[in-house]
Amino acid sequence: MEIAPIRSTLQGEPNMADEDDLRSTLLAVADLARSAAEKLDGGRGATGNGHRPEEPLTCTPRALPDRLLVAAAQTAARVNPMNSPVVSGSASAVGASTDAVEPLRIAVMTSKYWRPVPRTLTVSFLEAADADLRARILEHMNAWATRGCIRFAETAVDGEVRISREGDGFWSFLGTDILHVPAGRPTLNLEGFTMATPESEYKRVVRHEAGHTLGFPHEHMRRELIARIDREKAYLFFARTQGWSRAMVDAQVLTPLDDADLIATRSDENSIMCYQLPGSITLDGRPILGGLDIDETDFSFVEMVYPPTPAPGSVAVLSTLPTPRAAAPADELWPTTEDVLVPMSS
Amino acid sequence: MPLLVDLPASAELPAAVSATVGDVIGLAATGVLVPDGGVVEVLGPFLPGALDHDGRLTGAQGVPGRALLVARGPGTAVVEVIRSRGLAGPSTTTSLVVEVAAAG
Repeated sequence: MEIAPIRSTLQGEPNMADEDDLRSTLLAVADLARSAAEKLDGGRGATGNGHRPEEPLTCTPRALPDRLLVAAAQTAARVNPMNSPVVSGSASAVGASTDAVEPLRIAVMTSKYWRPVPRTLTVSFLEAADADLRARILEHMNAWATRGCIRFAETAVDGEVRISREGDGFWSFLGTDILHVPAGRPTLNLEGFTMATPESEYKRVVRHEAGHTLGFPHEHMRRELIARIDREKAYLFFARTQGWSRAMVDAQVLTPLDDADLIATRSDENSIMCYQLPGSITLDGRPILGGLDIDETDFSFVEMVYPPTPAPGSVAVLSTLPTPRAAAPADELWPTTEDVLVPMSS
Repeated sequence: MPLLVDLPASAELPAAVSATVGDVIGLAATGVLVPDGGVVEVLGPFLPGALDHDGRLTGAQGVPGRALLVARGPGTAVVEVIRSRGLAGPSTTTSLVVEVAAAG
């Protein structure tokens, strides 16, 4: 093992104290390895984290102990901001502000983006729809694919994306969350869409919901845009117009996304992912315009997240498919004194 | 026995409904304005959710579109059922008279 370059890199020119430290570290590593080997040799049975001695060794995904999840999530976000947690869905549904969300809860939230490699998401329609209507919806969903590597294609069987036009409102599950929706249930809803629906609504709604399916959360929940809202006016406005409680307004309007999630450059009130909000609830009296179609910033973002030609090495970094957790208590893997905390400068 | 009546989004709301204390009516709404008085309680509005492999609930993204009206006490209430296309987009408001009879 070549240890000198490592030491030089970390600590500069070697000296006696360095060598003592290094020796101690190596001894500790050796002890840890020996201890681990003894545990494996002793067999831990089916409920342990090791393998049965009589079984062939296989590569099994392992999970960090819970105590390290927060630090690991922070490290992942530093390595690639795209992996920062997104506060949405069930977290926002409890009406919690970001400050009120426990760090561990944030740590187990992952971005919902698909892998940045060319992919076709299959689409099916839960109710009967004429071919021209199906084609029109697909065409607008694929507006994103003109600049990104993920496209949508209809399938006659149960698709990964399942569209209903009979449910309530307009919504979609976020990115890879669609994989958790039971078969035969909608992942995207376009209430009442027909061929008579104006083209502008196809652009505003279908492209917005397709953006959610690609993993893009709501732009109006960017911290910079929420900072423009007068909270008390917002509570009064939505209580009067919708009958919403303060908790509902917090969840729907006032809970900011984590800083590094949607558009990495700047907030964009013209994004297709941004809802319109009236000037009567903003501090400066100007409305948050909201997007009517995919704009150039949206396209730049989809190019970044889903590049037409994947960047070398980006697959491993951006992989966000759910990571299986070890069934056995992960805290038994090693004592807390041996936790490795990655420096902030990494 | 309390009833659960789920009105689909495509169904036109009637002008009035008759219910009994304990009944629950599901309807398409981004919001519901309910007068005080204890006759009707509104739950939601809600977004659809799903259960992931770890037992966590995950929710859809969008404006919540389904509310539940719970008949809490005998009497009559006029509720305003609101449906919006977006947080501040065009909306419609429909008055619904809910007559609740005591459970018998």
